[in-house]
Amino acid sequence: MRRLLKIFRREIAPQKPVLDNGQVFKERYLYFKQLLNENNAVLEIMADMEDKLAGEYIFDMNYVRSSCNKLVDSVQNIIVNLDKLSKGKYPNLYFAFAKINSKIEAVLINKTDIPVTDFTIPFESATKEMVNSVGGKNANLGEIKNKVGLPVPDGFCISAYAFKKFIEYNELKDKIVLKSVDIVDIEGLNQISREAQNLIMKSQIPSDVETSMLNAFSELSRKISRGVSSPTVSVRSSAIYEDAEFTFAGQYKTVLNVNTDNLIEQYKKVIASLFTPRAIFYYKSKGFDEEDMVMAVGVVEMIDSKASGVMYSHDPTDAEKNNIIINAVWGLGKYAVDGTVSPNIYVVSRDESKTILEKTTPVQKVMLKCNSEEGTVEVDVPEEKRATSCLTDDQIKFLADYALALEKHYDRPQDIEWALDENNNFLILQTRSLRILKEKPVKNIQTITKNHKILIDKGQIACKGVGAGKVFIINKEEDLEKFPEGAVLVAKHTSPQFVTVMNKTSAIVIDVGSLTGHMATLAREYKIPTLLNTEVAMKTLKADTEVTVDAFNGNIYEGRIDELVEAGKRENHFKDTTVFKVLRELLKNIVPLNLIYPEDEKFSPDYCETFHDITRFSHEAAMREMFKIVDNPDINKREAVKLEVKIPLEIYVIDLGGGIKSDSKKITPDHILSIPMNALLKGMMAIEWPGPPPINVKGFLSVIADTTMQPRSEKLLWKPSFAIISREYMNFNIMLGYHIQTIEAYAGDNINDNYARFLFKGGGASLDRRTRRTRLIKEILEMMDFSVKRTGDVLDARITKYNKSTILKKLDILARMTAYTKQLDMTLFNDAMVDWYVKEFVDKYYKEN
Amino acid sequence: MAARILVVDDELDMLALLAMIISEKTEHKVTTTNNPLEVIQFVLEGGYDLIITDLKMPTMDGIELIGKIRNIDQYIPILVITAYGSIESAEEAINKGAYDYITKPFRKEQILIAIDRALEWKSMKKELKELKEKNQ
Repeated sequence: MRRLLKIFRREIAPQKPVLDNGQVFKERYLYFKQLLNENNAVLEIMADMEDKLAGEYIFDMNYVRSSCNKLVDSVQNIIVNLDKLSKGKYPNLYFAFAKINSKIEAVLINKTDIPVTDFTIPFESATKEMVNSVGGKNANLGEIKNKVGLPVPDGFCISAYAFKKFIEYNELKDKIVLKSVDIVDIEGLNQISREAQNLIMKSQIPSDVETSMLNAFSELSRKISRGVSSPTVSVRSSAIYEDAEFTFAGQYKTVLNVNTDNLIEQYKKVIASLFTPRAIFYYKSKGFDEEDMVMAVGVVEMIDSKASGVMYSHDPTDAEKNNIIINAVWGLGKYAVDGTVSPNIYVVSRDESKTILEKTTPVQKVMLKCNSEEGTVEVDVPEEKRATSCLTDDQIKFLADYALALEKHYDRPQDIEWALDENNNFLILQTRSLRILKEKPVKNIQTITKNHKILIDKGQIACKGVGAGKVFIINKEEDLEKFPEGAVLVAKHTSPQFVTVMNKTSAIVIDVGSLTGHMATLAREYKIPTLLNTEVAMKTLKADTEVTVDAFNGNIYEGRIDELVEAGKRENHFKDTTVFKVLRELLKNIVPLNLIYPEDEKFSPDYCETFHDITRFSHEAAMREMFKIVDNPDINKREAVKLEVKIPLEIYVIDLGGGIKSDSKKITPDHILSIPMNALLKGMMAIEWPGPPPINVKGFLSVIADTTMQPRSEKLLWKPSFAIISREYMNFNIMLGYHIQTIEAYAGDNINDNYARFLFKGGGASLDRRTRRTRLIKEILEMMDFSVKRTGDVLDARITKYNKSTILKKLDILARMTAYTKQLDMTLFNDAMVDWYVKEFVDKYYKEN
Repeated sequence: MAARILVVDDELDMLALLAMIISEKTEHKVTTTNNPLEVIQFVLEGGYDLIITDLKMPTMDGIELIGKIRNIDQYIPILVITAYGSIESAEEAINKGAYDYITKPFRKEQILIAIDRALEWKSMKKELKELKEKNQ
């Protein structure tokens, strides 16, 4: 055999070196390395931002902004490096980046354009989506009326657009100069505030706005007069910025009991309250301009309520109790809110029965009512009512149902203002999230899980939560098609393709994977409880059995523990704050992955919608570029050094940096510093390179008994093999007589960078034999956890995101297999042979690993 | 024991978040302001057991604020919140008399632990002072 090889070697004379691409290789490798670093940076920042969204951290806008800036920088660097690596092959990535970046900037700046609308908008057409036109309070009343279907007072909104027209008409933008305000100077702030408010009071409402307001008012009067000669309204501020609403609660003006004659005047009073010293301070310190100071106003039917009050759909002090709390006073609700009088308190159970559990009825001597002309007035509560309950039992239960309806619509406990009119009709005046709710005390985990066996107690948490379902094991990509609703996905390693079933996955358990990898990022986006690096899940968890995955503590339990799943769903009130909303909005342009299958035609820069898409595309493209680095017709040996090694291959090595420790033109394996190359050589040298088929093996003889050896007619390929290496990288193009195979690997300290790839192609044997050979290799590789694509006799196998030592083990096996399969196509004359060889290889080389 | 805590930050979200955690997880009463200028007034009025303040605020530097608070109240613990990467100013704050600092972003538990420790420190100081007075 050896002799034969020598002859062949002489037959094909080594080509003369032509070019020096060593420098080019080095440069390109540098771009590749930089790209890998930036890729990791992006994945880490994304993971960190998603982590913050889970609600365990306190962070501010500064964090959000600086994370975004870092992300933008890294993504840009990725694109630049790929551009250089690929010599400008993907110019459209720059466009994709610009598109996404401008969306991100828009979210960060958070400038709200005032939509052009009618000057007045009836509540009938308002919904919560219209907050930029009608302000928060109005939008909410519209929502209750039109979407929840509960009664609210009649009324209309004076839009933000009307405000804008008013400001423009009076050229107030030039007159109210906030630019020069020194916000540290309190007296100065007060001065400016007074001037601005005076200016507004002296200004004229544009006639078209005024007409619209008066028309809307008379329309409203017609509806609400119900026989009364001159109905009145309340005029309420309805701020555009939620932030503003939160900070200035109670500072913006509300005028009660206004009639048609002074509507315009009161409107001006309300919008003037926008310019309080505190509001100016806030807007200025936040870097807003005066043009961002906008206010919509609500004109609401005045309900001279018989009784009114506040209710909570849940007991804010004890959620465990499952009660609705209602308080009530005689007259207008202001006294219930500001504590002037002690209200009636009713505690109602939330269940079907709406049992009234408690009823407190203190004596109420005075109440607030509408004045007959305008404004409000305190009057005595009639003697017979003072000690009696404001509401009857039936009314209490009726109101409790409203509380539950609102909670259901908004999907969280509500804090509701209500009123009862003189005709005993209930009206909802306002509802908002009940913010401070004591968390349910969580039962001790040990108590919940004491009757359940722990199947697995190791693993890293990639996404917190608890999920339960039947185990569904993914061995290969096609298994995903059969993934059942609500199952627990169990797999050996991570894959971004799992995203295709994430909408029906209750938990994910992976034996090997990276916390900052694509899949972990997606699991967090879909909020799927996920454990990684469980190591033994594939062995331990049985398909189709129920398990509960506790991705808070990193345990997997036998059976379904609903109580634990419930405990995992604790509400997070943080998520209502603006900074969370901004982060969530931003992540929509960052995290979702649209580019899933590299072989898909849409896997291209044109379809990148997020930074994650760009990152994944660039990483794939970069690996492709590196893989092809030796696919160069001009590759030559001038830059290369010859590797003297005791295997029947002629190997030349090109060092990209840190791969070799010698300057000499001839080296031995002792000079190789490249981690993956060493692993591969070790494997190659450990195996005996095959001679003729093992005819002395009994099993083998039985297989070939009825076949005849075919004569060898194909021409051998015999060329030098090139290995381009660095300390962590290897791209080894092996010329193996009848076929070409490339083994590429990256084995560094960051798991996200690591991969091994094996490409097998060509060969001189007849097609059926070549196909058999690729089938053989495919089966062996799949047993080694590679994901393998086979097209005819071309085979492309890959394994990604394993730690360094595992990658090196895989290389060792690849080396042994290379030697083993070297001439197999010569002997693979029927399919049964393939099975025999697979078994032999596994018995001999794989099991010992 | 329920304490009264004053939280100062120019960023409204931070105020909202801090107020939310403290009220959700403890019995303490929280007052918030985004205007450092108001803090002096609050401290003069008295009754607070702990002040939590940001260091970077538009109207008044946190360091300056600590100085002003110390002029009025020698003992009230001040817990400083600093942005990541500005340890120097946190150290300066400690030198000016802040009790401790915590770096943003931080976990919920971190701030709760810091609050507990600061309040413990305060009551220890008080006991110590009383003991000394008794012995004199």
